Amino acid sequence: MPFAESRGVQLYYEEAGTGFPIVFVHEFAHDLRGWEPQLRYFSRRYRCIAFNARGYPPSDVPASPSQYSQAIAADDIANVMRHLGIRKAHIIGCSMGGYATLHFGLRYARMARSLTVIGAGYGSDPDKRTQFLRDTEVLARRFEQLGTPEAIMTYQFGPARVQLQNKDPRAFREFCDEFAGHSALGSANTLRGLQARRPTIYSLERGLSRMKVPTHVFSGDEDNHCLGPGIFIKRICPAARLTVVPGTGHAVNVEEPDTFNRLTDEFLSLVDSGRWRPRNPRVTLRSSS
Amino acid sequence: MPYVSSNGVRLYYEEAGRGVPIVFVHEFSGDLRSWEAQMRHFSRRYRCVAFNARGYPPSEVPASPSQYSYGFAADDIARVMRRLGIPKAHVIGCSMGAYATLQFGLRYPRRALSLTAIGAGAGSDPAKRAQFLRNRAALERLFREQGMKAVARVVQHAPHRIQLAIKDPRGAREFWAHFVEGSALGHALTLRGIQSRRPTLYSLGNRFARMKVPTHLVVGDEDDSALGPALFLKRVCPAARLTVVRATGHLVNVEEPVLFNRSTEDFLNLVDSGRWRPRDPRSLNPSTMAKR
Repeated sequence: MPFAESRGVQLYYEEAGTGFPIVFVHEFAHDLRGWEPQLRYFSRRYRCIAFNARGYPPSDVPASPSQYSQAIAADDIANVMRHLGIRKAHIIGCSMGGYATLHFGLRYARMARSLTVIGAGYGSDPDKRTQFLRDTEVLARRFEQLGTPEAIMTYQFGPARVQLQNKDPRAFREFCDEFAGHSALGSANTLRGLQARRPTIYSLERGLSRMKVPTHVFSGDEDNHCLGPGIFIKRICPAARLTVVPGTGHAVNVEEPDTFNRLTDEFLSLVDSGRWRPRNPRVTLRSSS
Repeated sequence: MPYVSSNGVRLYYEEAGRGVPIVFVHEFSGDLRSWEAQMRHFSRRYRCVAFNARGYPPSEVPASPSQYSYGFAADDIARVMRRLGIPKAHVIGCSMGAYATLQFGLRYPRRALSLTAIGAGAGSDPAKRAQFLRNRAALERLFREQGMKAVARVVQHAPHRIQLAIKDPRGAREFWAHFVEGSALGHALTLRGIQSRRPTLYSLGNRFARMKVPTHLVVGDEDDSALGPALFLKRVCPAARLTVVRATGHLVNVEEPVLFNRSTEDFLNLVDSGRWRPRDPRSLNPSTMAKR
């Protein structure tokens, strides 16, 4: 099995297709298997790489929470790329992977041709922050005490997951089965080391307002924790465009693969063709009608 | 030319196709010709009806301001349907027409199969309300004193309209060529009678919370004055779903016809097939977890 080393930790990855590279960065409740509809679609024209984050076997599961952080997550993307000899790629990340993708764009701008950020924002809204931190610690404890299959019973039916259950029960069952196989230690450490400590989207304002990497932000219209941060990114970052997908929860790429693939294909083509432009700053004095 | 009469005012309309009816309701700066890309697409499977609002020739331009109101705008949709023998229709509106569409849903819910509202809600944001009203008054003066061409020169560069000119200059040229053919008096009276007086969407929250008509809100991610109201409606109305379209301004159906038609077709198919459902209340749980 192929691994890339990052800061002493072995990260498992898979590859498909040839062409300009895309790197896929998965969310907390998924692993690289969550990108299957994207790997099958984009590998026809791109070199697709998906890897498992630290804490997600077959990647190593470091025993200490200090081995998990937002900065490390962004470094892991860079190190996977270096291992594969890739100097520049389109980066596509969901949720936790969407945060990592944004941080990668801020810290490794020259290695990113574009960023696609799906459902990033959990823990950012000030009015939901306390609840988020409480939920995160409760969930970490459940992983430790109950093991993964039992721990995730309250999480997988959460408010931004029921949409998948309603619209595509087969995909939802697959999601739950794969989630149940995750490492309890890796998940608890990811929650405590990374999720509970990462900076909010709002705290990245300065960096994002100057970041020039073409960026496409996705949110489901029912993903309550990500809608506000998504709109915030659109407002402050001239390089960002925003798509909100109707009747949809958290993992837009899993819930609506057709819509996601099509819009992403179009965005990547715009960037690859050199015709992408940042938001036009033009405004007029008489500002409406 | 075909007309229907509504509250004594003659409204011009066009029809295309056969099947379940769709009624299109245009925005302030457009007329029924703004729906050309939709008429050509949806008439393959639907009976499409588009009409010009009062104040937009060939519809009549009543001279009295009292003949223009948001109430009349919703009633005009119902009258057009009645005269054409349409008991129920999908109603699709843009901007001012989206506001009329939403009002139609509140007043005539049994006559709406679904509502599609593009870029609704300008003037709703309380923080920008005073400026909105000042802008309306200034624009009304411009219509009266200098006419359509002068207004077009200013309005086409507005921050939520410039996107069309950037991505589709041919489409923009056509749009504004149609605009200058309109009636300056009709536009001035529409501004005064409808746009400045209609209740804001925020003030209608309680009514939308109870409205059950399947609703699709569509808004550009650069249409700042309509984004807030769209998010508000999504939050309060369990029957509403929201699409935000990337790198797009006010006129989503004109700017992004392919995307709009496809996403609208998905929505209409869901409703027509009887599989549409309102929002699952579990998705409103403030925790990130399921309720025990």
